[in-house]
Amino acid sequence: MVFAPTNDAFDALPEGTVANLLKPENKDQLAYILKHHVTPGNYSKDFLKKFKKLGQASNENITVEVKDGEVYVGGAKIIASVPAGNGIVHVVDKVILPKN
Amino acid sequence: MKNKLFHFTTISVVGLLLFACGNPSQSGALGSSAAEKVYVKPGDHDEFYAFISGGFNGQLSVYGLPSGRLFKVIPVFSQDAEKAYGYNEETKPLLNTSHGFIPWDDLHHPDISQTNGVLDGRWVFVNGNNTPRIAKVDLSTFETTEIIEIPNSAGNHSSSYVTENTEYVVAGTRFGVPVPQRDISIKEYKENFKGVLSFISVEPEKGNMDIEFQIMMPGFDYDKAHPGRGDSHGWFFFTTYNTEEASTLLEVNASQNDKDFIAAVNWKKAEEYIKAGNFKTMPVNYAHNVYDEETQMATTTWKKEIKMLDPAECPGLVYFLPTPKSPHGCDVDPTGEYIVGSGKLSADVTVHSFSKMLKAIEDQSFTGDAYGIPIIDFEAVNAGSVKQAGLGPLHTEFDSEGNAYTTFFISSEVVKWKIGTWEVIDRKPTYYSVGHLMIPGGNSREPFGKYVVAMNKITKDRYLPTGPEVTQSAQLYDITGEKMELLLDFPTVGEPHYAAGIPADLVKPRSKKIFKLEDNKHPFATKNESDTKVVRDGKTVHVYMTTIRSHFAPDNIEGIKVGDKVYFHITNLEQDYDVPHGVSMIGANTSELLIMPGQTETFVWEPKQVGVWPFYCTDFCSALHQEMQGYVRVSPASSNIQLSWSLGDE
Repeated sequence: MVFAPTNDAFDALPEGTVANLLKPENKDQLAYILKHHVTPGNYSKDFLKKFKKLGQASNENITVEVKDGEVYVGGAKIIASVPAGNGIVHVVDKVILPKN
Repeated sequence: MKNKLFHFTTISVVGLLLFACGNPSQSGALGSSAAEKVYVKPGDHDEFYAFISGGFNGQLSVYGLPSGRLFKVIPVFSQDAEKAYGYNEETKPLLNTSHGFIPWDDLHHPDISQTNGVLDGRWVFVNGNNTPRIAKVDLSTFETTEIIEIPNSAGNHSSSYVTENTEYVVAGTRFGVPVPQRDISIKEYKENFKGVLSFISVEPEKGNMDIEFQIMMPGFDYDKAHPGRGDSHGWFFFTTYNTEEASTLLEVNASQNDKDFIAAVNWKKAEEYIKAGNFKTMPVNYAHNVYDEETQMATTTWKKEIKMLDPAECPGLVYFLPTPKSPHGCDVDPTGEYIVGSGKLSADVTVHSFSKMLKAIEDQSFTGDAYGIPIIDFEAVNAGSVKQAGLGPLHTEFDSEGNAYTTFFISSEVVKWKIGTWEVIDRKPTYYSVGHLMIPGGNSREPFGKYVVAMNKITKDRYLPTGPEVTQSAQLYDITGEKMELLLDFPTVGEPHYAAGIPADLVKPRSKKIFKLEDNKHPFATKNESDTKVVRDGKTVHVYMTTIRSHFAPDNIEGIKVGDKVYFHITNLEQDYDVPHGVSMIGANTSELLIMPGQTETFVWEPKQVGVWPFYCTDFCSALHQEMQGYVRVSPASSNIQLSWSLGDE
């Protein structure tokens, strides 16, 4: 399952963050953040409401919260879902930043 | 002097080098080894599918050639706990017969459907030898989708071969029996017991089978059969043995006559007689079982009558071609002109000519008749013999170069000979005692003459021993050169009696990956987790359940009571390739279920004890497969607990 931040979500990051992450010497850091947006499973937004947290491929957990019927993963709201061939992509409105 | 010696030496050395490099038959780095020819490297696919019969296991195995890898054992006549075939409610009806539900049969001969004499890879037809039946395997799902019982028969052996445009698939009895069955002394066999040949039509679009007509033949034993093709299309040829009509100690008593017959049946003429009403309608009772892919269920229909033709009343319908010594194989070459009869107790291979047969019929060159069926004069129909070819010929297939390959059981070899000249070109031993062989398309107008597979009856020391009972061996030979070359030796499942091969490209593209959920019309299908439910109807309970990685919905059920009959109808909601789910329940008197994406299957559980009983997914489906489980609470029969079901804490 992939949580994909929108373009706006990336734009909302502090100026220069993305450009910095795209530098070859920061490859590991970029990979870590990307993995932080991936978790095993193929769950609909509705089904995610049953979870309290998810374990990401970065090896860190993110919280799952339900507020007014909306689902927030690691603080980012799921605004759309796209079923794919072997999984699902949930579009989110924020970049989920890992603790490390 | 020194100069000349130097030149001579140089020239000799250069000459030797040129000779060595230019000669491709040198072994070593320049020759291609057998290992290279059969090695299919990791990630690559084989060139051919080989459908090899399982014999007494009642199944059909699927192998790849040239690697010899086993891909699947398709359940046909025998229950298969792995796939819940004959265990789940949907497939049990496939094994119904007029003798009741039978969980096994003896599967001998696969034949692939053809269009205009060329393999088309739509279906494989196979025969059930014990309780006479023909089954059809669909090659888009590699599953058995239809089984039809053959009445008035016993020992369905000369079956299940198709005409070159798959108009018909045939059946023929190897045991003469009273027709209809009645109380009569076995000693009355001669003249009173009959052999029946059946022609089953195959509907061109969906492949549905229907017994069009039967022919009441003398009580000889009908052994093998093959269709005419090209000019001989419209005829079907069946070998007979036991023209002595013995009913005891056939080993001796059926080996007395110097010649038995190949029966040539003109089925186009039979169609004319049927149209003209020249048949008898006989009452019978047989099962016709069809698996519907939409509802995903099999149903049994009972058929009550048959059209029977009597050769004595249908001139031109059947002729007998004398063929030496209990012939087994009856093989027609790709041109349709030559009919090869392999006499089990003969040292020669007899070849009849179709055009000579037609002339003999026209000239009435008969030497008598058997039960009103004309016997054609041997010399008038014979084209030649492959003399002293080996001991105990059984079966012949053909390549596209005018060569024939015959198996010899007693002398344990495959012999290659030339059609028309009847001379032996090559012989290679098999290990050991070969029965049948297979060339992909070797029973069609267009054989793919690259490999021949020899299927043997005796294995002995070929592989690591496994106690007294050992697997059956098969060898793969390269037949592209003048001489055959042994490439591979591989074990086979059950007892292969016969095989049919086809280029993988003719089947691969049609192979289904999933069943589409929207096409699922199973009466108890559940297409959404929100539609799952448990419904009680007296003592019967229906559970509408779904599976998806990695949970069942619902996975907690309460309110079931001892004495209930619980039907679990489980729909696999996955729509991705190769994600089946299994399910099994403690104490259920049946096998697991193995459900493909988009499919619904049902098993029955009759709880006999109070308690909380778990069920789980039996096919590794995901990282959290081990967590895919559920519980069912069973209360005493007298309890008032209401049915409830849930997933997670609501």
